[in-house]
Amino acid sequence: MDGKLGCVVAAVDGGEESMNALGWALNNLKLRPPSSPGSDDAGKLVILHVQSPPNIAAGLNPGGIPFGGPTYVEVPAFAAAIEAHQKRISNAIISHAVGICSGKNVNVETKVVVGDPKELICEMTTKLHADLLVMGSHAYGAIKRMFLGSVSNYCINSVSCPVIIIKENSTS
Amino acid sequence: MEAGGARRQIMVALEPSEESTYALEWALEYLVISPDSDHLILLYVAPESLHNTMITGKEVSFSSHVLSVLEKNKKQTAHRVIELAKTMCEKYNVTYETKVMVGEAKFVICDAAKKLNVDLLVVGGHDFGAIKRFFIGSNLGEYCINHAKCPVALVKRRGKRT
Repeated sequence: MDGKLGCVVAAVDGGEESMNALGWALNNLKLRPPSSPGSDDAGKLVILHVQSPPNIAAGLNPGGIPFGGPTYVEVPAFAAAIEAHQKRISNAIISHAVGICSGKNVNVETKVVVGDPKELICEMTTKLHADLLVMGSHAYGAIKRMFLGSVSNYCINSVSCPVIIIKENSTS
Repeated sequence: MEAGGARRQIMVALEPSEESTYALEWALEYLVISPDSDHLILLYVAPESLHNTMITGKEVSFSSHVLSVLEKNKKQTAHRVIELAKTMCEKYNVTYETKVMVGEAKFVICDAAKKLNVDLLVVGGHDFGAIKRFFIGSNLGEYCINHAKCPVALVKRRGKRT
């Protein structure tokens, strides 16, 4: 039976659970084949990584000098170093994800965007007209979830397409 | 997802709602790969007692005649939902089994999914507004995602958001 899925978004971050989710998607979902050889309407898997903005993730951003002093411009080297580091993290995540996809003969695209993960995952899912969103879940307990929030819980309530959440211990 | 292995056990939670019907249809269309690779477990959970169907949870006593009418209505609803689900599965030529259990849906579904060791749980999405969620708590989809051990597919109808 042919697959019907046109666009599946797999959200990945630095956690093993999200890579498990990607692996599950590769093993369990079937994308739509192209309607004719060479046409570009084949289903695709979009690996989406949302990179946190540098000042939040770093937590070390000294910020500008207050009371009229210079701000961003004064510490260009520092901010640039943080951004470069973030970029290296994103690249590692994306190449790890793409590595998981290799050999599976799947039409894969990658996308990295910077911003708040839960909001951007939802936004990108809508923008890409995804048929399905696949995510891992950090499986925080109820208390931790209350404080840290949950990206997956936010997404299942905000996104308009179906969502599959894969917990950490299921890959087959 | 190739043949030659055990088939995937996909459990679909059935309720008397459009969301649930849509979830089953979506699963059949987009998730199920072939009759050889997948087997559906259609689970319908009937509320335990009629009192549970009321949001306030207050005990109300009915006359026995009213009770029997309500019981019959419950059975008819279950029958209707299950027959519709069976027809849909047959249309897609997929093997299925039906199960009817009694209790509170979210607990029963997660429990059954664990006991039967299903590979995937499919649940319809209920979009509650903030007020309703305050009283009812997490909806079925959220509960299953937080408590089921297996992957959970939460299927909402496009564009239907609160």
